[in-house]
Order: sequence, then structure tokens, then C-alpha cells
Amino acid sequence: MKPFECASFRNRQGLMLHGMLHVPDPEVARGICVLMLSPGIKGRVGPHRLYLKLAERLVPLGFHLLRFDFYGLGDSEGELAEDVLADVYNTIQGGRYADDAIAAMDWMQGMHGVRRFVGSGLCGGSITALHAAARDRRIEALLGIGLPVVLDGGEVNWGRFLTEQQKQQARRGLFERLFRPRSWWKFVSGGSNYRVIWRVLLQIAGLRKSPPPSAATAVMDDTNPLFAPAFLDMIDRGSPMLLVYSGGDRLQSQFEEKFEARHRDRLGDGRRGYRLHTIPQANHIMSAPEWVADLCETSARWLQEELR
Amino acid sequence: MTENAYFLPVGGERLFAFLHLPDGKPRAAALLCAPLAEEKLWSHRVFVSFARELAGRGWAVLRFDFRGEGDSDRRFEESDLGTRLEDTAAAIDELKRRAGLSKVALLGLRLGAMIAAAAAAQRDDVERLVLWDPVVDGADYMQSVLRMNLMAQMAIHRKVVEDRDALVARLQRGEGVNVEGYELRLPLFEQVSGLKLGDLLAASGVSCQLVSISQKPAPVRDELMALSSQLPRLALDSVAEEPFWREIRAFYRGAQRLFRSSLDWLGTAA
Repeated sequence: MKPFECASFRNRQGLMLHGMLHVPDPEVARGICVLMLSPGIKGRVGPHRLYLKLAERLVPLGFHLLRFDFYGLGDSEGELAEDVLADVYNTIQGGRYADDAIAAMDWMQGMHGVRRFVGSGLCGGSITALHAAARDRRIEALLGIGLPVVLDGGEVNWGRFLTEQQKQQARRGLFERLFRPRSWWKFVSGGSNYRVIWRVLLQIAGLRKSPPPSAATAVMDDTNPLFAPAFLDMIDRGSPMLLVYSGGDRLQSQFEEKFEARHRDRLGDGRRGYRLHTIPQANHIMSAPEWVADLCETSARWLQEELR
Repeated sequence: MTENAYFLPVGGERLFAFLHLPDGKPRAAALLCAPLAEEKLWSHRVFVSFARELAGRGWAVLRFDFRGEGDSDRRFEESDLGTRLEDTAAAIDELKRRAGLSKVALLGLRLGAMIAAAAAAQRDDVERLVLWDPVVDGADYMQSVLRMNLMAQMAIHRKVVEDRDALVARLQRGEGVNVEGYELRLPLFEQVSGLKLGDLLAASGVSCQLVSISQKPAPVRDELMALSSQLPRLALDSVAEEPFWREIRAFYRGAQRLFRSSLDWLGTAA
């Protein structure tokens, strides 16, 4: 495998974006580029260089892989106006960087003649890939790692948006803490998250039930309203999708409860049109080597099966 | 101002470098030394913003990724203090050549500050050092790095499965200790543990600014004050900034109070 090379190109606002292009050996090249989109602040290498580890596995299979910094982040030009990280994530989840992803495809097509793309990335990178796919048909497939269904920015009101699985975990946690003096001290000294405690207690007492899942409930909570149309469009197009979730993360339960359960009429009982793979115990950034190996192998196998 | 990303050869491998050049001939040059691992990623944009500030004031600025980090060659576990010092030396030579100057300033954050001080102690072409929230005792710092592994164990297993002694024993057996996805190995652990900032500054004799960073206005950290009493040529300052090298609530595109302090000291304030 050749070493990767610097790739700098302008987005549609004229800002220079900086990144790296991994080029496969010509004899195995498939003419397909994996757009490994930046998760956000951690830029084009991803947490603990996760994107380099993925490139090391995928590029020898014949895929180009392009990773770059979005405008206002990493080495790229531009400035973001937000002062709070959650607000930055919120705008990413709303599609802020879909145009940067499209500019990257334009550059790849113009400079390297590659016209077929797999949208990918961790968290903010994967939702950007989905937004870009909704706007640009050159993205034929989605490899979503920790694909978020919700919008960030609700941190002051965090308890409002718990999924059923999160509430169950919170119930277990509350019960365990009943026997810890330190937890009682935190409770009386004002350090507890009273909103969560209150919600769980109401549920235990049977005074509050979750609304039945439906597409309409999406407007009442933190679900990203752009998610379902884009995801369902990918299914309708027959675009292969692999979603990889971390077992220790909230994102999978959000996907199941805030998307799948609400769209049963479209999705049926199975997972028609997409595959979901869970890496047990893994954390959001997949920091253990065995989790990274699972991610790399699952992704490699799926890409080889789906994109010939 | 022009900006260029490229690879710099070092020891038969590649170092990712990003050069910021001012319009016209640079009047001074600064090399920025990043902190370790995820701290580098969280603080990246602050470094970029400061490099642009300096370049806007006529400085040539080079940022680079140590081997084992970012886009440079090697796996993290194959890097150590020696490669980091070799990388810093190669980057200083490159910066002097590109800026057409014979002396440079080094700026570092956290462990990057300690490495900058170690590099300055080995050379005679570093004329100024700016150390942001520097690691003062390498051994203490490495213990804090191990603590991150303990915190990850708590998050995954809800208890500590391997305590600190067991982690050190693991390193001594030649195995890695996972720290936020990076495999820490014995050479880096031991070499950094053996460093003391005071010794490095005493050996370098370079004019130096030490900046203590705390979330609220506070006096300079005691350990930095202690250094100052031993090394009178140090300039000390304390600024209120968030710990932007960690995940925090704020989005930190720049650290204006910190920038002002160091720009003033470097004599480049507008």
C-alpha cells in the first residue's frame, strides 16, 4: 500500500479544506472511494487515530479513502461562531457539513476520476454522510459508525430525552446508589441530576408512561427531524447500509426507539435494507484494540460483499 | 499569509508538517509542540488559531505531528521520547530553512511544553520558550495518564480490574496499557517519568515564559512559582482559560487571554 498523501481542496464557500488521501494499488483499485468523514472536533484522524486504522484495513482491498477536516475545524480554513460544543454537534447533526462532503466528491471526481462513494464516519461523520447521500446520488452506500438519530444541545434538559433502555439503566443505577453514602451526600449537597431521578421515580410509581412510538412523537423530543427522511430514502434507493454501534453507548437504543419503533410501517419487522452490528461493551470511541478489530473486520467484509 | 501541508522526512519516515508563512520575509519563527495523544486532538484548533495569529504578525510558524500521532508515520506504541526529540529537532531545522532565520522560538502545551524545554536544552538555536500549562514532573504526569486507564475500567467494568501497580507490571512485561485508545509502552512511560522541567530549563538557559492556566482567575501554580524562585530569568503569568486540552462544555477555537499573554511576552502584540 502506498503511503497516503496530502489532499487540499476548496469547498463551495471557497475555503481551503485539508485532508489525506489513501490510494490503493492500481492492480486492486475498485474506483470506489470511502469518504471517511470527520466526527467533529477530533478531525480527520478520529479519536486515537481510528480513521488511520480503518484505512489500513480497507485500502488494501482496493478502496480509495479520503479523510479531511471540515471548515472551521482541524487544519481547514473558516471559523465557527458557536461557543458551546453541543451547539457545534447540533449543527453537524443538522447537516452543516454535507456541502463539504459534496465538495470532496467533486474534487475526487475531478482529480482522480472516482465517481462512486461510500459515505462513512464516526458519529458526526456518519450523520454528515447520510445528509450528503440525501443530496448527492454519488454516495452509493453508508457505513455508519455510531450514527446518531438525535440532535445534541439538550444538555440542560437531558432527563427529558432518555430512551427506555436509558431509563432502565438509570433505575438500576439509582437502586445501587441507595446503599452508597457518597451518593446520598451528592444528593443532599445538590450534586445529583434531579430531573433524571424525578423521571425515573415517576415511572416507578406508574405516574408517567412513555408515549407509544410513532413518527409523530419525534416532534416532541430531541429526534433529528431530518434523519428518518434521509435514512428511508437510502432504503428506497436500495443503497446498502451497515450501522455499527457500540454496546456501551446510548446511540443504538436511540436508533431502535426513536427511529425503528416509529417507522415499523415502513421498515416491517426485520431490518430490510440495512444491517446493524453491535460491538458488545465498546465505548463510543471504540478505544480497545479488540473493538477496533471488530469494526475493521465487519466493515471490510460488508464492503467486499456489497460493493463489487 | 500562506499555509502549506506536507510531509517532512525524518529518520527514513514521514512527519506531517503544516507551515504558516506571513506575507513578506518572516521577522521571527516559532515551532509549536503539541501535547500527548487525545490532548493534542482537543487542543488542535487553539494551536491552529495561535499559529494564524503569529503569522498575521509576521512570524513563520510550523506545526507538526509527532511520529505515532496524527498523520505522521509509526504506531503510537512505537514512539517514545527519543522519537519526539528527533522530530522536534527535524522540525526546528525545517523551520529555520523555510523562514530563512538562524533562531527559533519553541512553544509547547502540557507534555509538548516539556519536550520543547528538553529540545531547547540540546541546542543553541532556540532563543525563546513559551510553555503553556507545562508538565513539571514527568513521573506525576505519567501517573495521571495511567489514571485514565483506571477511569476507563470503571466505566466498562464498574470497578478497577487492574490497579496502578498491575498496569506498571504490565508495562514492565513489555505489554501495552490502553489510554483512550493509545497503547502506552514502557519506554515512553519511563523516559517521560524521568523528566523534571526545572532540570531541563536550568540546562537550556533560554529566556522562557511559563503560563499557568486555570478555569478561574488564580495565582500562578505553586510548582511553577517554585521553579521561578530557582530560575530567576523565567517570566510567569497566570491566565483564566478552560482546560481546552480535554473535553469541555465550551467549543474552544482560540484562547484569547492566553494568546494575549504570550503575544505580549513575545513582543508581537498589535
